[in-house]
Amino acid sequence: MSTSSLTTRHPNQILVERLIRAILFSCSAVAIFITVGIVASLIFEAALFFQSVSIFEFLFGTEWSPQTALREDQVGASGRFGAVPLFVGTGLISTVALCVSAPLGIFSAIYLAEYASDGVRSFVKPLLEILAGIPTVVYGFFAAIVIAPAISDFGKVVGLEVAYESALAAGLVMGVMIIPLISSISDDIIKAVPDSLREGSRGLGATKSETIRRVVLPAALPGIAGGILLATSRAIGETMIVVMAAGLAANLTFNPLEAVTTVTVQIVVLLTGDQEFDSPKTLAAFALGLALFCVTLVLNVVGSQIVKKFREQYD
Amino acid sequence: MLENKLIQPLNVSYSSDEAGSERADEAAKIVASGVNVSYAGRPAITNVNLNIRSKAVTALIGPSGCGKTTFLRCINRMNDLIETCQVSGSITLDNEDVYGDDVDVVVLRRRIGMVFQKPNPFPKSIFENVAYGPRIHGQANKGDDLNEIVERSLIRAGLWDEVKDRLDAPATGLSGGQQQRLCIARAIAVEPDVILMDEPCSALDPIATARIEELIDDLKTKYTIVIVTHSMQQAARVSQRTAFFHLGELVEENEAKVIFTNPSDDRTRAYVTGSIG
Repeated sequence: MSTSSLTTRHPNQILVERLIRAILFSCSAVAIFITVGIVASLIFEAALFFQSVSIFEFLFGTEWSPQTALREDQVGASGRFGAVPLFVGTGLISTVALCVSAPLGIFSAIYLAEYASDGVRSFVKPLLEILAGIPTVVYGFFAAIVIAPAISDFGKVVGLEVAYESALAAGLVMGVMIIPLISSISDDIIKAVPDSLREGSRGLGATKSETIRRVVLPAALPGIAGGILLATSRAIGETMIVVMAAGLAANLTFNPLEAVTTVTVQIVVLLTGDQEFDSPKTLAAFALGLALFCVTLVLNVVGSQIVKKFREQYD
Repeated sequence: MLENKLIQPLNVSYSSDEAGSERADEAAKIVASGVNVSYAGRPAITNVNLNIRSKAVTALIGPSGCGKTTFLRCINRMNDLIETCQVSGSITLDNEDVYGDDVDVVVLRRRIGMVFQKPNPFPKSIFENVAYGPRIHGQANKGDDLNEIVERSLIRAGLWDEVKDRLDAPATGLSGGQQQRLCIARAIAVEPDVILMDEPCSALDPIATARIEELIDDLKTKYTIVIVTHSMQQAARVSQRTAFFHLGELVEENEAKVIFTNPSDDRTRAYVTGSIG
């Protein structure tokens, strides 16, 4: 009896171990295959698109009017696929969003990390997280129904012509949406700056705000920059707010008071309603999706690398 | 009365006429009397009376948690940064109450510099680290004045020859010992009278430690130095006077050689011979 104890395990035990391992492995494999599949399909469909529209026109063309002719004699339906106005529109709205969210997010993070008492912190932090939890569609109709008319009306009062679907309205609301993202990353980063640096500065007679301005923020800046890149990627990919509050017309403009459209809005427009699946118009959505994917991927990778590197530096 | 206190701090009873008379000639730079400190109501040090002599090295020794670092941080009011910390009693610098109502801690900390346990150079260039204090205090903002202060401070900290060709290099690229000497240069750049050192060598190897100890010996001609150390050998090597703390009390303070060879309190004897601590 004692001779068998070292070599024999109950066969069921071995089976259960293998089974669990197999289940876990297949779950992660599914996630990876789906990701790879989506990217592959993006590339494949985009390649189809670039057979009918040159990649040069897509990347550098300044005219976007994806209506293709259904009949030979239709007027104004030539189908132009220059994506520059969409990227400029996306960039414009994201810039407005960052102009709002970067200062507000960073300053609130400084307050929370350096000044706020534990009581205030335990109250304000969850509040900011609630802001992050609001569905973007709610931000969207808030932008469309409250902010956009208000800005337009205000423009009339001061004698400026502000489009109802201005980049400004969409950008402002998007900015509010990403405040929590920036503030929570910045808060982490500022907290990661070692106290020994603060003490060193205070020990030399620097005041609290001198210490923050001259030591803490410069030390935290790379990490905060990484956080802003992550927020930018979020802003660029954001769809619901711009679908509801930004325009559809592809104006090539840098004026935030005019209506612009974005990459995500155009993807939605191209793919909603009845479509032929192999028309350039439909396939253009994949090309846009691929471009968007590349940009946000780069921003995410670079941003999270910077944040990670920053944390390691002070670990 | 004050004279009496100078010679006979509380809790201290030794009889060395020679040491006593020698001390009477020396000015006490810092006088602590009846200092109590508590964190969130829990006492950390009680009734500390200590005179710190000008232009000499005073070492504070004692086992972990004995309150020596707490006491050190009272002198330049670094304990102010801890909300729960309560300080009572009085500490004077050149007969001026450090905890007086109209004392500006910015000015106080300019006169009492501090060097920390772990080298903490700012993530800036070597030059900017040393220039930090002078800039804050408006002693010099740019140009030759600032260059001169930086050079003089680095020379005094014994680091100039090693870094003069790379003042713009990041300070974090220096070795631990160099970083700590940079922190000393940074502290002396604002021309303090007193330098507090909180276990400045505990993160350094023996060679770097020896360099810092030599430096401390040089610096005492110009500055009053108070050093907290865990190493009794270090205290014996660098200090002229040594104070032994135990369980939040100042047990005994005397000439370093008296403390290490012929202490009057049994607890001190037990600590310096290694049977407690």
